[in-house]
Amino acid sequence: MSILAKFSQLKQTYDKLSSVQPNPFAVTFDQILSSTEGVVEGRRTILLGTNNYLGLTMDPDCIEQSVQALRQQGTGTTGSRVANGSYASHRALEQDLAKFFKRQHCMVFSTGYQANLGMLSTLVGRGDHLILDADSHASIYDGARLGHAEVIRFRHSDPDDLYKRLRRLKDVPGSKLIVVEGIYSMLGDLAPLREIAQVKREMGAYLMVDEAHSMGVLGEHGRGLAEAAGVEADVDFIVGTFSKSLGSVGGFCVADLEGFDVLRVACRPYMFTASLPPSIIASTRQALRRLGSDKALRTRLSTNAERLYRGLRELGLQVGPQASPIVSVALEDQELAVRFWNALLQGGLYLNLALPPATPTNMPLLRASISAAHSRRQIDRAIELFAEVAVKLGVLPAGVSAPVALVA
Amino acid sequence: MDSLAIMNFMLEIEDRFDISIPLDRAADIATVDDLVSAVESLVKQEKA
Ligand SMILES: Cc1ncc(COP(=O)(O)O)c(C=O)c1O
Repeated sequence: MSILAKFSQLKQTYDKLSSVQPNPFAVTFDQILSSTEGVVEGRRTILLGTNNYLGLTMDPDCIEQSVQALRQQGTGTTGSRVANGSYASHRALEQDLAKFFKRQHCMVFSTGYQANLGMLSTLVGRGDHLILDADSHASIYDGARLGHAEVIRFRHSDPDDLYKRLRRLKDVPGSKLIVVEGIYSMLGDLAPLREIAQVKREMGAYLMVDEAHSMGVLGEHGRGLAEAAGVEADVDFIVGTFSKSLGSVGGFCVADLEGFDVLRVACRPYMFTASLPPSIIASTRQALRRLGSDKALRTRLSTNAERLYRGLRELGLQVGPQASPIVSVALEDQELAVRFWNALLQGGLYLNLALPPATPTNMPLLRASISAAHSRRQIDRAIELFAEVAVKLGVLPAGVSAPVALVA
Repeated sequence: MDSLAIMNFMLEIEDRFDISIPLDRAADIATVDDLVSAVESLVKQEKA
């Protein structure tokens, strides 16, 4: 029997899904024309599934900084910060991030996935307790598995359930760390952070917020949900990524905790992997400067998000609970979702197809992520296409179409 | 049962008995007997 035999059921599902053309798991962008447009199979395609919230992947200043660093410092660091040394720019980026979040300390990781893996497996250890939102991202679950703390879950975004679970742990020794996300990546819903922070204060625990999808998106200064909810003082650790609003790759954790730096020599996903190349650090620093100084980006993003969310909701499609730069449409079954996704792509619109069990409600999702760089016309075209395809596939009754005012 | 149904079932059990079943304990549960003994020992622990 093959070593891969255990995947036979998965393979069956995968083969069935990838028999449709184009294969939803192997989309290739032959060309990237801008941060919101590419070429797929010879067609100009609107990119509405890239997490490129501020559109900074093509920002000329970010590119220029990156190119300069590349020429001056080379293509890679070829080693880990701990074993092979840091470049000055690693330090500088950590200082920039600490300052941006108004915190004492910052550690930069090679991806956001590794930031969660590292922090969750190291901050809590044997005899400690990790209390996760049930709908947490894979990187949070994997970090929990890598460490030795006891892991329990509370119902998604349910502060009362969190309270009950902390109450049960009241007299149990060990540190307690609660982990939530700012914006949840599948439905775009926000954590009830004020209520969660109150439970945390009352019961005595540490609180970590993953602001992967909310940094640069929420808050007066773009510091994320903790800022928007006014509870930054209650949030002990913020983790995040450079791969979304900052348009590059990498991850980080910021904190005010005394003695934080000891983690640099305790945290394996930080120590035993190569550090980010200087060109990535350079564009990320520039993107952070832009994010911090250009509030108009955030305004444009929320206007675009609101427009798409309202447009799809008004068509009668089943969208998530609130408008945010992630807008997902739930469909009845997998086959329909694949056909819907395909028809959109044929029509020149790319977004993400998310299938159970990766989705929180067991329904397949068409997941859009909106960018400040999308034009109004692109958003309206997306709504129009959704309407056409939904009618064609019988998801919406005949005669439904995008309101004329929207298309104008 | 799919994984979402299993998760909801576990959350129900936790509510019903006022316990939290840690993920590593949950991973070891394969039969109804396993579940019963895990719940019993957690309930006992809770009362202690
Ligand atoms: C909530 C959340 N945390 C962490 C990550 C990981 O980020 P990265 O792409 O930097 O590994 C992601 C994105 O994939 C995410 O959605």
